[in-house]
Amino acid sequence: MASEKKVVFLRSSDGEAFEVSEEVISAASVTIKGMIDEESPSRADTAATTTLAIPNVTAATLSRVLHYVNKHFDAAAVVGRPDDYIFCAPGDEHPLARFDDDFVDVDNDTLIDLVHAAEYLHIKKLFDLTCKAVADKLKGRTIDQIRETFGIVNDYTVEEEVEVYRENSWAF
Amino acid sequence: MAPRPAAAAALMDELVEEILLRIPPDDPARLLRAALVCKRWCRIVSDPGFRRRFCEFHRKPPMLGFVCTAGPWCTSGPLTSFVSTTSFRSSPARLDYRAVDARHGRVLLHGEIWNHKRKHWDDSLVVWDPITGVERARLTLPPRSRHQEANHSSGIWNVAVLCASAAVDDACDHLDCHSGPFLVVFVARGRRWGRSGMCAQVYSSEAAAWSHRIYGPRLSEHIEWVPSALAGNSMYFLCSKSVLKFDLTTREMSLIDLPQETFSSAMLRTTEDAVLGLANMCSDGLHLWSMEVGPNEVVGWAQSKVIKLTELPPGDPIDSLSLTGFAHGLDVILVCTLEGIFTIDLKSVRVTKVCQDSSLACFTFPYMSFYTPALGAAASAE
Repeated sequence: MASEKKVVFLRSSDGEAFEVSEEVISAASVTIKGMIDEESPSRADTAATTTLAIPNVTAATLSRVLHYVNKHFDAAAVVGRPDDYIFCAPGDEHPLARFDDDFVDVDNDTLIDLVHAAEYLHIKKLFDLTCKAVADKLKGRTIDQIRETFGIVNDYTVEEEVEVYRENSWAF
Repeated sequence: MAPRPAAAAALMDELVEEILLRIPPDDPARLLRAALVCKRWCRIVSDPGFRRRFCEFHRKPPMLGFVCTAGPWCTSGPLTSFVSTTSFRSSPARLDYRAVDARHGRVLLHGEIWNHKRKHWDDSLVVWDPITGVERARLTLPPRSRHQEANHSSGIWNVAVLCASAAVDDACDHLDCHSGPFLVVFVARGRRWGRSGMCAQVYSSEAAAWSHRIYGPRLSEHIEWVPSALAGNSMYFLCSKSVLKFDLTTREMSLIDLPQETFSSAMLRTTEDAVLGLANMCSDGLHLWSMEVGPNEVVGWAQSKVIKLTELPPGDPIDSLSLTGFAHGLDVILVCTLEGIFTIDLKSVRVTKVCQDSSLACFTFPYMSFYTPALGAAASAE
């Protein structure tokens, strides 16, 4: 068998194809590993590369996800102990902590798209990172600011709101 | 291009839950505000399953604040206060009672109540939940008998509250047991057959009664009225020159000698491996000790660390600084100086001022618990 690295192509919902190492993406994404395993019997003796359709993820999001995956799951690129990174506080010296901080420093919609993609592709570390980043966006914001940031409609009646504010005045 | 709906509004319930789970437990106001954004988020956060997952996700209950009782020199203001070290604010306490212990999400308060029938003061204990403001239980200390010394004043007794499962190995992870059954361990210096000795009684909330009196070793020294410690299956109470160990499983008492350097100045702590330890202030810094059990069960103390406290306000540390409490499981010690009350993280040696008022603290009882909003009315109002 050829020892050269196998690659797969991932086709985004809007039709763009991205090349990624099969080994790297299999280590990162439970969903894609499952797809590759399903495909493998039929392509064991062909030289053709596989293209997998990722119908729930746009090209913009998929390219970001693959940037993350290559940084975190490509053994050649990983420095230090990658599994420890989520416990790094901002400012820690871990090289990937800095990368992660920059990675999630994006607008809300982009971040939420990443949460959805990480969930669909089943990339646990990315899911943890992006969910935490959304939780961090709630920090220090008033209720109205949170609604505005996330486009949520207030469905409390005025009476309910008065009651809730009275009972929980310490949080405001 | 038509504006697409805000991505967050389209988040499925499970994803909203995953996001809200990751709000740090030491920022309770953030979680409460999130719950009040809309009824759907409120329903997610108020669900009992969310609380269980929140506790399991974060594993270590944060210190939401501490309860402290003003020193005898402080004549104005409430006797006892809950001082928040986070965005959490507690419900009002029995401010006329003094704080005597806090553990496993419960605070123990002590006050004296005039007993009209028997014409004397009863020592009353209240188990209080700062999150709900609810008095879980009210009990009376075992009656003063001829076996005990004349009164329950300082130096004669101490008392601790803990989860009832603490007597059994691994029966409870203490992440969310604050509303479950509890024990109160009362130790006192008493007299038996004409000699001073230790005696103990255990109150069980399940039995709603005190145990019979348990007699321990002879001891003529004071029981220090300082915070007790739970390590393994034993409660430890500090005395002037020794530590009184109360084994919760066998209900036997024994004494462990203190290192001479720590006489009358030690604070009980527990190490990361849940071994009993000590801390005491010396001119060169904060000395930390841990208990070591040698051959033949001989107990000794090893000095594990000396922490230089350069970040604390200037002044002679020994004269102006006192150790007032310890947050077990978090490795954080509370100290009181003329400038106020500070927490010292023993791992990072980070010093944080948590209270301006230094007159408050004789002793501080850190309150560690998870807060999740209980918004039954708002959540169901759909």
